[in-house]
Amino acid sequence: MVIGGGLAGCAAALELAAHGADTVLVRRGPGSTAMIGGCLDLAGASPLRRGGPPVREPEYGRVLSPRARLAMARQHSHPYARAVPASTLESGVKEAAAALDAWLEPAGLRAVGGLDETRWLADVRGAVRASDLSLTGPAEGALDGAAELALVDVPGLQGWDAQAALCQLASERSTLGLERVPLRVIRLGLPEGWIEAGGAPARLAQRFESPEGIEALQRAVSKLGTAGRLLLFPPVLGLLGVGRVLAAVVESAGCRVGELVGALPHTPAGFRLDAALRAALERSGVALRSASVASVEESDASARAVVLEGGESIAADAVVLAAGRFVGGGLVERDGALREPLLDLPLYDLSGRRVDGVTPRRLIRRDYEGEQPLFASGVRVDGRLRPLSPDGTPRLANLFAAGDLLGGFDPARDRTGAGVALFSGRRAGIEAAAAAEAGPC
Amino acid sequence: MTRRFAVQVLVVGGGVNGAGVARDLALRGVRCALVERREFGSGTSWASSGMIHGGLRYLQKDPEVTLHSCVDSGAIQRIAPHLVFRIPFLMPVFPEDPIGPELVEIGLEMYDRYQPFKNGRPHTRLTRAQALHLEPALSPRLDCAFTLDEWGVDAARLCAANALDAAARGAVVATHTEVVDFLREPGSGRVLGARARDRLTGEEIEIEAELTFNATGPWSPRVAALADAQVRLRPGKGIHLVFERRVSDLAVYARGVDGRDMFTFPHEQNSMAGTTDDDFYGDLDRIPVTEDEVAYVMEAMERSLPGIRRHRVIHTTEGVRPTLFAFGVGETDLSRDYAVIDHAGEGVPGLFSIAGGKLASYRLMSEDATDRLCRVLGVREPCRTADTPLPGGDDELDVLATAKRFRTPLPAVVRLAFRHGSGAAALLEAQASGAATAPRVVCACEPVLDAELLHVAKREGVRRLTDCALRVRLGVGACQGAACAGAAAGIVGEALGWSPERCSQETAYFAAERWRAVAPALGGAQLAAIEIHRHVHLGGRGFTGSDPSPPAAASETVPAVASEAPE
Repeated sequence: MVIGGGLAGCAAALELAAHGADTVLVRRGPGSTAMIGGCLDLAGASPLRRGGPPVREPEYGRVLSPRARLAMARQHSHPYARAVPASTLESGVKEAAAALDAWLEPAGLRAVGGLDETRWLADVRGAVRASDLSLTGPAEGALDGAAELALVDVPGLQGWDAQAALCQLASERSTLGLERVPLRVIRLGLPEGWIEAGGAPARLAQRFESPEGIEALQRAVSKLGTAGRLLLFPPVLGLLGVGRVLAAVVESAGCRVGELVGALPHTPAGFRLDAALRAALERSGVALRSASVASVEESDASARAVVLEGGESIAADAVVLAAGRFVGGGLVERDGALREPLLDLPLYDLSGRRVDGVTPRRLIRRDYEGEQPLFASGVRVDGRLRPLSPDGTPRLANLFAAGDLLGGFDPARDRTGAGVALFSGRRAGIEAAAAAEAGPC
Repeated sequence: MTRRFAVQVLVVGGGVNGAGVARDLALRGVRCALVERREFGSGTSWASSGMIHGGLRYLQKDPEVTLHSCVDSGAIQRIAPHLVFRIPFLMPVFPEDPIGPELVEIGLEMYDRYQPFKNGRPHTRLTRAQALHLEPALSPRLDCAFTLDEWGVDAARLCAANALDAAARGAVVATHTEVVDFLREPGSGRVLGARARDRLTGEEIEIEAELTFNATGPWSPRVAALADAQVRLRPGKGIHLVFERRVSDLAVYARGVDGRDMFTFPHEQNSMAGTTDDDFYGDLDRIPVTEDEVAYVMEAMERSLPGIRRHRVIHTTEGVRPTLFAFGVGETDLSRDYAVIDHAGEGVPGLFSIAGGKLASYRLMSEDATDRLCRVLGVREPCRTADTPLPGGDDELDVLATAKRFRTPLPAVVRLAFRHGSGAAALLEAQASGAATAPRVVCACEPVLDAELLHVAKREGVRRLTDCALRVRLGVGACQGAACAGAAAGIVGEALGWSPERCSQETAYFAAERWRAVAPALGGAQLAAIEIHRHVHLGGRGFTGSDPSPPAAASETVPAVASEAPE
């Protein structure tokens, strides 16, 4: 049984199925995976300040390689440090990236990159990031190698301002010392009234993947392609069928075309990822249940069954808990106290202090950008990703945890959330498969 | 380089009193300047309940206050009908309440006499069943309930409207500009104006004035002290909880564990609950909201609305009332009366201060204060603020036709009309008709349109992104700017010529300021919203401009006043 259907839970379920386990994934929704903007950092942001948000380049003087960043992220209480011997982290992360690509590919979505290359991607604000792994759409928008960057203005689109993004992009580029290629904004000519009032991005993305939408796009870009130009769209090139829409636009424009990395409210990438993962689950024979979990039944220090809200009980030889943090519901506030709701697992912050039962507002600090214990808290696990009891022994012999539920890191600040989900999800799946194989303890 | 100019009156403080006086002066043809240290209404006005109610509470001890509030409420409804909304109240009576229904009704009958002044309806008495039918969220333990009528207002917008109208009538108006010292006549000690400093550019300004009016609310003792004058206050802190949405259709009275009256009331797009009233001696620039205060308000609300804890508190507001000094009286029993102080009595001629009072009677207080100033100046023009509409208050906007004409979502037009009244159509005309496309929604919670942001940047003198939170309620809804702050910075920045670094800084500062408002009551479902907020604002950051405050503001050193930028 896998509890949680974001990236971590799906990765665990797919590994379980690959290892021949009869797998059920129960989820309420995709959780924070739905808000991924299109790049999945594995190694952490570049550059990364120890335990802090990304800092300006001058503090480092150079951009760190993915390996160096991975080594930095590995420090302290980070799940990367806890879960594996150092020697296997790099290969484990690389394998995880390759596995994701293989899962997504049949749905027409690719995960491009890995630890061997860094791509420079711009987001809808024009902010640039060094990305290790990116999804179809944004992946094609890598700034490297373009002779000219042209931001596509889609007039009337909510939360999108091409001119502002252009200014930001220019400024980021000079800070980073990236190659100075010409930058410009090109306005997309769409039929009158094409974008509905208010300019909701998801509606537009949906419209663009319809036959009439693709036709309109093709017509609009047909004269925009010049040699060496990279046409950068806001992330609206199809809600799910991004590969198809992208191919049609490239064909018509005759130049490179990509999407900018999304940020709220522009997160089709998360929907695309979720849809492709669900398709992979289906192909692998994983049963997907849309439900809330009420409790986990245990006896003799092992999990025995997962009880759904409504009373249905599903017996299990092993359980992977990948319910995320507050967005996913893996952590909640109950009666004024921070809790892991299913097993009341002990929770720890960055410094290893026990925090379950503590009022959330006592775990926050005044400085918004500084360390916030509340948002770095979660369960602590052993080397096999089994959540630990307060005495340091595994809480249950066949219970594994993955993803954001793992404490000891702050994904908003170090940006390794997707990397941890993917890496720990796979590991938890493999461990759970072994536990299930071994049979009831 | 120091800029210099001269006016007849310098008004210090852009809260409702300062803005109200500046407008009154401007309407009477007096040349005046208005300087505000932050954004209009960002102090006590923003933190108020946003109600222009008569104050049933004051009827017993301060009937004058009730009368003034009710009469002035009627006037505000006349001059700014767009900014005002009716809030019907329900007052449940529980078996254990010390005052039974009969006594309550006697009080309400007295209050009914004041209702006509503010276009309110007389009270009604409801049976238990009627009350529960009207407001199903009410505790079924009630014996009966009463209704009464009050009015809400967008207080920050009311301040801005007064200040902007003053500017339109010739006043010099400056935000983010702080008085650092007074100009004094050697010997006599007369105040001849003030030296101010632009907190964003660092520019020094010398404003010569025949009279200086200190309307800085809880800060007024500190400002007066710059001229060796004294204002004695009994500062009282009050907090509100702001809910994600409207948790009840009607405002509902609640009683604190100490017997104080409070209420949950629909306000703007949200509900608010409060308020507290506690003596406050701390730092006015960092007013803390404690766990105690949040728990105290919640406990009170729960007694009337048992399901209240299921609703999501998105942020708190906090402020300090500039209540008149009194010794040996509990906070709640302090008079809400006001005083205009002529400091000539203590050897500081040329300086006046205002203290005490209520938002509801701001116009009347401003009139009184302006009368005093005009008498000294020898100006005989009568006050016209009771009948001269504030900008946009002259006519009603046809929102349906406007939405259709500008191809804009109706809810956005309704909110636009709420803030700008009849001016909303001209705003859309000016900002949107040049563009080939319909206005875009930037902040979906409120909602706020790009056209409105352009308008406040180009026409209303907005100087920081955080100003927009007060001016047009940008990013103060459920997501607290997670989805809109970056885009809004781009739009405002384009209009104001901000560099990309400045845009990033403004966005980061906006996020940090929202965090300050969110943190005190953070819990429940809002934890997920803030998890997203942090992903957007920290995880989505690029390489430029990670410093959250612009260089000028960060480097300023004004010993008397702490910087508002987060540490």
